[in-house]
Amino acid sequence: MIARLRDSWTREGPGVPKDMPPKTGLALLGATIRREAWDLFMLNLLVAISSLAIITIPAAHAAGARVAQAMLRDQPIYLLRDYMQAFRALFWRASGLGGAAALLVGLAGYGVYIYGQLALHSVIYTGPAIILLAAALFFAACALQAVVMMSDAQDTRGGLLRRAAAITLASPLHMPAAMATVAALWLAHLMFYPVSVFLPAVANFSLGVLLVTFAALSAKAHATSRATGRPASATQETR
Amino acid sequence: MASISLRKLRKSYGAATVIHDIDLEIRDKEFVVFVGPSGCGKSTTLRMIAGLAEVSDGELYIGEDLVNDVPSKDRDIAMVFQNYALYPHMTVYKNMAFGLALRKAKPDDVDRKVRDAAAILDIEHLLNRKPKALSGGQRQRVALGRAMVRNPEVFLLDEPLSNLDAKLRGTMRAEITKLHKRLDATFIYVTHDQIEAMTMADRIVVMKDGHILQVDTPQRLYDQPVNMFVAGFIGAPQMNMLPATIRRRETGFVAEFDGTELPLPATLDAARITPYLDREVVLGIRPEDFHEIAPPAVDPDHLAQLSGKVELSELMGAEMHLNMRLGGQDVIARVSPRYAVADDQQVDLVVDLSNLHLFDPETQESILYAPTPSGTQAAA
Repeated sequence: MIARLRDSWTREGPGVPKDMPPKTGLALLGATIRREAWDLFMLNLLVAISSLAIITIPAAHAAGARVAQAMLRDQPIYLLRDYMQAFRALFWRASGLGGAAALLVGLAGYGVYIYGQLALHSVIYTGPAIILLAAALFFAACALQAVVMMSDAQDTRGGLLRRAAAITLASPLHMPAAMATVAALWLAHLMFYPVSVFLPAVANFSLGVLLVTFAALSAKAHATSRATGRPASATQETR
Repeated sequence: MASISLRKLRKSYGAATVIHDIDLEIRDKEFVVFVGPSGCGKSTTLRMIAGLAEVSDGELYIGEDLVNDVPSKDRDIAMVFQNYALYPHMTVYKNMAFGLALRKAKPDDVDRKVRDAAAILDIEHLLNRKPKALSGGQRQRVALGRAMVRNPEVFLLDEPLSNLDAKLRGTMRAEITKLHKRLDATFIYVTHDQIEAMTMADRIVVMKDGHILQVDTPQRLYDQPVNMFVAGFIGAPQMNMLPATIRRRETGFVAEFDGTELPLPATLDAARITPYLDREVVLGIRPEDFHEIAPPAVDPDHLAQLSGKVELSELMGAEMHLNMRLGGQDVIARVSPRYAVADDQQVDLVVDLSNLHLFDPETQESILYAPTPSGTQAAA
């Protein structure tokens, strides 16, 4: 029994070819999730615990995004150390951005609610409702893009919001797809409750952060490719 | 300074002594290989130097410091184990950084050292992988990297290539040798593989039963073994040992073997041979000293012809090994692969006697060469 256990730890693997082409797209995401499963679980706990104070939610997610970027780039991480460093470094900027984004999305959402109510009486109000819904989605996607870019230690250029907005417009499908997947994760938790009671404690936070980070990096790569005319994959951007 | 000095070093387990008062001086930046059969005490000696095994008696110096009672972590050494001893739950990066982290090194320093070592060993692409994903060679590199990041004065390597396949072993041999030159540190390397010892070492320490038999450069160890064990252990196929009797003739000494008189070269020290006159000795002839035709570069006086029956010929590609029966003795000759010979064929081979060896059959010591203390052997 002990020998079998030892062998399972010490058995040689297949090796990692040096010139293996880097994974791209969903294959990269899948490989990252498989490779970092344990750290994602631990990251989930960190994000969940450090979000308990509510006001710390943006900083917690920004720190999570920095760790997630290292995971996607296949870089070594010391989870607790790197997370706490990022949390401290990004706290004020992330909180400011998060607060502003929450305000904008909240206002747009409230407008959608108001015009939605009015649209029940007059169809003419569906126009403003749809425009505000699009604005709310854009603000949310743009804010998430900005949070990921802000947390990127390799990206120190200015004009964060302007660039985030441009990327969101240039790659309009990446972030909404990630947001829909994250929403589905939480919906699954609600739908299958109480069976899914442990889902948020195990995966929802970190997987959500990873998906959003992956989408943001892919969108950035896609937008850069469109702007420069050169082919660029998400892998090239994320590595 | 990372010279190492073993003075009357002994290791005992209860009444059983496994290392018997050995003396050895290892110079700073030297690559020394301990070689010997299983159980000869080479790993135990290494573990004593590492501080992983207690010294029962004697003195062990690293540089000027007596380190008998110095804990392993304070000896400024790094050890690479046969099974690599990587932490399976840590990534390569964390495995390499672990020792530095324990010493509370600054994260930036740790990162720089790990990445520098990874670049040297060409394992940068593995840094975020866990050992279970790595092949044997990659694991070996990681184990070396873990030792390197600490920048120790002395590297101790305990059969680090034993678990690798033959091809990879060859590659890693060269890499470790290059690494030694690059790092400019003292390397002590334990192996039972004589090819590793011969190709990598500045000096080789041959051990048997807890004793050091000979310490010398690879070439001198090969050319001038001080006893039958060393002569047989170093060299593949191993040296042929033939019983012979020393006689004196008008032309000089001869070794009488199976009715054939083999003239001993006049260059041999007569004073060492004379006591064995008319006595039985063991004649040592390397397989490559047999030739199908007389080699032109050798003095004809040092050549003799022997006739034997080929029992089995083994073609090795670059050479051919003839397993022969020669005067009732089994002999292996290494000849050209193009030598046309069939099994059970009687052949005449020329023997180059300029490199022959003579051993005392009782003591098994060389008659021609004698060791000097602490291993700096000189030709007698």
